[in-house]
Amino acid sequence: MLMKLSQLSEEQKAILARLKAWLALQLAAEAFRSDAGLQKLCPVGGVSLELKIMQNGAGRGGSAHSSSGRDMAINPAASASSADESAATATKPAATLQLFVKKGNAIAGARNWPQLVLVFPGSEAAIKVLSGGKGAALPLPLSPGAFKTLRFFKKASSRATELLREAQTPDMVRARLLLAATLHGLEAVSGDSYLERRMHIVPDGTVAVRVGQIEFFAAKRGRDIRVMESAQHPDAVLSFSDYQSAIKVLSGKRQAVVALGSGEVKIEGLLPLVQGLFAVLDRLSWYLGVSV
Amino acid sequence: MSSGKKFARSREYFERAAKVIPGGIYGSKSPGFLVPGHFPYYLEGAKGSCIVDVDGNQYIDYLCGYGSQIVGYGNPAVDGPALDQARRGDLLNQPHPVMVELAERLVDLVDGMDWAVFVKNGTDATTLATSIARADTGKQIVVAAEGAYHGAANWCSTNVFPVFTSAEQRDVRFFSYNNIAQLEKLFKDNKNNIACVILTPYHHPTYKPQQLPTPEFLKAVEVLCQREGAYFIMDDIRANFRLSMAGSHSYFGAHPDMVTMGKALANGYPISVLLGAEALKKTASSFFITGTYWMSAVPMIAAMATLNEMERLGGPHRLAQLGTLLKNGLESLGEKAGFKARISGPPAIPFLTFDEDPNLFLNQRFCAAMADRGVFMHPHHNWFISLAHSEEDIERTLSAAREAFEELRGGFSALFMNKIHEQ
Repeated sequence: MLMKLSQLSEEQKAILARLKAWLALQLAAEAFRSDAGLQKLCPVGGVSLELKIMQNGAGRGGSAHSSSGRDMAINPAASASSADESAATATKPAATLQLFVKKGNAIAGARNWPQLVLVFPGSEAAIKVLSGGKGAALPLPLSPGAFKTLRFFKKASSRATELLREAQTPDMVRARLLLAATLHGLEAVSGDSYLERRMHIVPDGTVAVRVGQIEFFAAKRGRDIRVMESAQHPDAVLSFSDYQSAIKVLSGKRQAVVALGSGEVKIEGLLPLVQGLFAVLDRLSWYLGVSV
Repeated sequence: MSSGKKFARSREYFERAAKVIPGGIYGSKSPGFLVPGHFPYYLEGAKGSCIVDVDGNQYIDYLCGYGSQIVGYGNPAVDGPALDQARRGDLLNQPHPVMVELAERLVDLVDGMDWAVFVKNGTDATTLATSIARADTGKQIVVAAEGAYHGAANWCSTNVFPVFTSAEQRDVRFFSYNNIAQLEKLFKDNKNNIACVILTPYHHPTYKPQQLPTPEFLKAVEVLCQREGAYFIMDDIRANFRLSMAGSHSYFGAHPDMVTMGKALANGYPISVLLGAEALKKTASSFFITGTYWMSAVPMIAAMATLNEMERLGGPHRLAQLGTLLKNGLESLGEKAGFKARISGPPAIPFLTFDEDPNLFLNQRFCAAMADRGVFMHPHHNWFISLAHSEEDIERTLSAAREAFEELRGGFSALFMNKIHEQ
């Protein structure tokens, strides 16, 4: 059943807000990685943005850190501790997510001192704004480059959408964007209490997700899923035969089971782990289907 | 031949199915549970120990309809009387007399059992058994082994959703098979609250090596159940008559209060049975037990004929003989190829795993290579020997296995071999 935003519980709203914020930042980071034009637009010193979603006591708080640069690194593990910290105190934000983009390698330090913090007074506001609707968001400039950062983030977000839609986007770029969005989406919803018992019976382990030259790793530990760009010896491998197959499946144009049956998707190794991720994927679809 | 051509019709049907059936093929027969590209999705026939898919590919079959085939596909000794009854009427207003004859025969055959209730699937039987135990004891909790499969009902399935968690699944507690200390602790922590312990005669979890009961384990279960006023249910749906004609509990020297049987009971005709001890008969009688198809005559006729045929063909002894031949052959070939290939479980219900690969990459590659050579061995679920298998089948299987192990050794990815070598 398709749900309306008003029908969600506070926990579900908090998760949806976190999901929307996380996807917005991850897609912006992926667009930066893929698009030379966007890289040129990036100020010399880089930009760093934090999204802060205020939520009193409801839901599982979360924090994640997405950083990107020319040699971009995504390090969600670094944010895990702050996720727990923010959940522990009701007066703290339910979710704090950061994006750091810089031309070069130096990304350290910016996580704790962003140029701009965009504060959403609650989950609903965040969901509405990040879905392209109207809602309250308070920009808190913390450095002179703050509004350049905001402009850049907006540009990167819309560029990500364009890259997904434009026919001339190379298949590899589109596949990467979709795969990143899907996997980081799993990451964002994995703490949902709806999935708690399911996640308990799914074995821990790491799944490599591969298509062409793209490779991501999703590590399941307890209730959480973390996306990584590298890992040793995955316990399972999910691979797509080519970029087009990945695009079709990840954009919902081809049923995953049909692709599996035809060999366009292949699963090897620890099957229960991959099946567990599918359950989270179903939950992700449920959240993405919420009418805002 | 490319897998696209080899399985063209299977794929075509599956694409059609996915439009009108959730998942295309749901449950344990889903293509994802096998190795897509190497196994068929749809079968159209079978005879003896062989199955034929919709594209005309033939396989020596070691899944036997998930264990339901014990005297061979299309066995005339079973199908003859069953089809004859089908022509004379299957589902009637009242039961056919064969129901009495079958109940008498099973009570006579299966150790320690005094009554029988016929149902359709294993889930029906296990759910009824745990319900009777709960009703009789007035206690709520069911104890089961972690990873054991007792059916697809909400209380025992992997359909884990919060709405079920708060109802059916809440009162099921788990312990590790063979772990007496854990079971004792469960009884201690849930004093006067455990209605029953339900166990398979040996542990056959999916994706893992099978585990036989230790000599003291089943005895300890019995003692604990008796001491604490709980019933002991033996879920023999899967092994059913492959280990002993008196039931697998008899094979392992156990004395359960109820036994569930199915699968091989009627060589694939839909029937399962819950058998119980005299002490539970009154409670069972107080239950309203019914299902539209539960008393249909044809499966009962087939069950009688299957029991006759099993006895005629040598029963569990013959199955163990063939299974041992397969087990020894596969382990020896695996070792020669440099793998720690191990067959677990009773020889009649074997399962191959590789000690160096708990994630089953090697199983998947091996079973895919066997399927390519016309042998259907499931990579994730235990296998079954039937009385229709022959020494020649085993010989052909081992010949294919020799090549499959070689292929495995030669073609495995560098990444994975690194992992093996590090261990």
